[in-house]
Amino acid sequence: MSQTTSDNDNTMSTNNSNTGDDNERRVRHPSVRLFASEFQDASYMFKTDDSEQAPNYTLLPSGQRVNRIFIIGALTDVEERETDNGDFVNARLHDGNGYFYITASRYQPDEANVLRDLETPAHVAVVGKLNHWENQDGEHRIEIVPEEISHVTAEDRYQWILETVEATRDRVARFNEVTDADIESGTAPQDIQMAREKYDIDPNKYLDDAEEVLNSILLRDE
Amino acid sequence: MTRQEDAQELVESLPDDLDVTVEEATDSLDQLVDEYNVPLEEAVRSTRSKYMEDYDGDGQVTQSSPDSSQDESVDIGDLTVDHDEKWVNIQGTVQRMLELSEKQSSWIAQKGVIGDDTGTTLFTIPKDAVEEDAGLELEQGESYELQGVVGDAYNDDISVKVTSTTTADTIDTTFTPPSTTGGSGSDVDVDIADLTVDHDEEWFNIQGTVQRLIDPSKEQASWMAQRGVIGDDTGTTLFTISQRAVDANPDLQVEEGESYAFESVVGDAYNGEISVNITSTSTVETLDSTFTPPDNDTHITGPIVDIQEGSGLIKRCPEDGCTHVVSNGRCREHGQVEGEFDLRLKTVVDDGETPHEVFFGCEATEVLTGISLENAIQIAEDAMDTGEVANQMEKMLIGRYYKIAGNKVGEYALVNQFERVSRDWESDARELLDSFSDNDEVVA
Repeated sequence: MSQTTSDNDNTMSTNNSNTGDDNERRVRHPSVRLFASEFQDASYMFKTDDSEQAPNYTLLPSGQRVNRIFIIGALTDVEERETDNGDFVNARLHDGNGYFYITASRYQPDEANVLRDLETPAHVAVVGKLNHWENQDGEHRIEIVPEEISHVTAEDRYQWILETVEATRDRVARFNEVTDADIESGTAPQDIQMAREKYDIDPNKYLDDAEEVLNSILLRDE
Repeated sequence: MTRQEDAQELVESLPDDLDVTVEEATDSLDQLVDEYNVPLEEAVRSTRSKYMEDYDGDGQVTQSSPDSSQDESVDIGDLTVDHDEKWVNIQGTVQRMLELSEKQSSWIAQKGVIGDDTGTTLFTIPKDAVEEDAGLELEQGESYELQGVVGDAYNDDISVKVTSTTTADTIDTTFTPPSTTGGSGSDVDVDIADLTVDHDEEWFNIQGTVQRLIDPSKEQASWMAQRGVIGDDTGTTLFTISQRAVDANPDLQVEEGESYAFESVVGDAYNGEISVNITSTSTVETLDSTFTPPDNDTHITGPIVDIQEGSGLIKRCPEDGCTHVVSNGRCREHGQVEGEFDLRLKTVVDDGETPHEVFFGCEATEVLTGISLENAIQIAEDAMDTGEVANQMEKMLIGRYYKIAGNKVGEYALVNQFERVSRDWESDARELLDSFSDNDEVVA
């Protein structure tokens, strides 16, 4: 039920944190499913207007804007860090093919506590927003700012994997359907157009990653 | 037109004795438009209403009463929301007096229902009006000619306010308003499934069985007595019953599972959805038949991604027919009450494309979480915190996949059935893998 995120994207929560009553609630962003490989590549962030409260979107290389994601993976590492800016809890969640990074700061005290209390490994679900930064070498880094973290079952995780394979497949298929002519005539979906401009990545590679993930769960149970 | 010209026009439309300057009005408009981002039209409305409230409320301005002989005399049955802020003369018999809430009694002397041969309306008499002129105190069963009352429209409902400038003369005629169960009969009967946003602000008749009642939200509770879902054999719709409607006609209070025929209800389109408002001009008749809406359950499969405020162990007002949630020991309608515990969950289930708001009632919450109402009360007592119940429930629900069937009502789905998702993931995974190796370029 935490409403705060470390980025500025708390439009919905500020409008609703007091009421929880839902006639006032207009837009909640869906929780998009994606695998770690595409998450790691997603470096382009934008806003649709200049105001502080405007939501941040991260553009996926397969051509979809994302504000919130939902992932389930294996919690593999939890690390507490004390800094001048307060305590942080960093965690890594593996999806069978790659890692998601999660950082709970003092603005997410409940989620930080859930992470502290979890034993690794565990099947863990995370609902969260995306945060981008650059490391000392100027390399792009992306992490999840958690809104919710919870211990789930293996069944939930498999369900998530199947869904995420399907979601990735559908996104890539839509991306593949767009022709150069569509781009030139401006009839291509806006997010796919943007992805073709901003990324030099063939999203078909995420299908291979999806296959890897499927293989990882099938092998594991054999 | 400049802001100042708007203000000028507004000031000219106000009674002279209010002494509002164009400058004051301009300031008010500026503040509403510039600081609070309110459209100008709404700013004008808001400013007018602020000044008029003072006018009615503090009775300073009695010396030059409006010349009520020039006010329109109207039949009560003809009062509509168009009479908002209009001065009118009415006559009628006081049908009954209403009890005042604690909050109301701080400024209202009397509130009741007055009717002539064409209909009934609610009236309120502010305390200061009676202090000014004791003759304004009305008696049940007596008939009066009220000159210079002002119309007051709120959410499709019109009522009249007596002010300190009103004159009340006793008259001998006794009026008999049309029976409240008869209806005017002039509106068309509508099948619920046929309701569309085109019925916005249209008046019509519906009948159906109350499928369930839903708590009004905090904001809604200020004017709404009840809301819920009503269904006939064709479909379901959300309905609301205003507090004024119930004040004017207690028969309008409905119960879950009972069937009713409503006449003169009004459509209310919001955000692409149509709902039905039952107002003080609506009439109702209880029906013996039971309607069974077609199964148009909405089906949602996805994880629970959020548990919203107001979930877990709550307290409800114990008064008959009142479903309000008690907060800090108070019901907003009945004041200090000993609330009764109840369980509910307001969740968000997200299929990856749409976040669905899904509500679980007490029984569904018990089955979903395995925490009974009794357990929940124990948990709250042990922790000395009712919030602990929601915390525990949240822990066991977030991130779990459910398959849910429920009534879609406005933005909510009210759970009828649910189960954990169990999928033969292994065979589905193999199938997906095969589909990848078949084609290099996949199609959705």
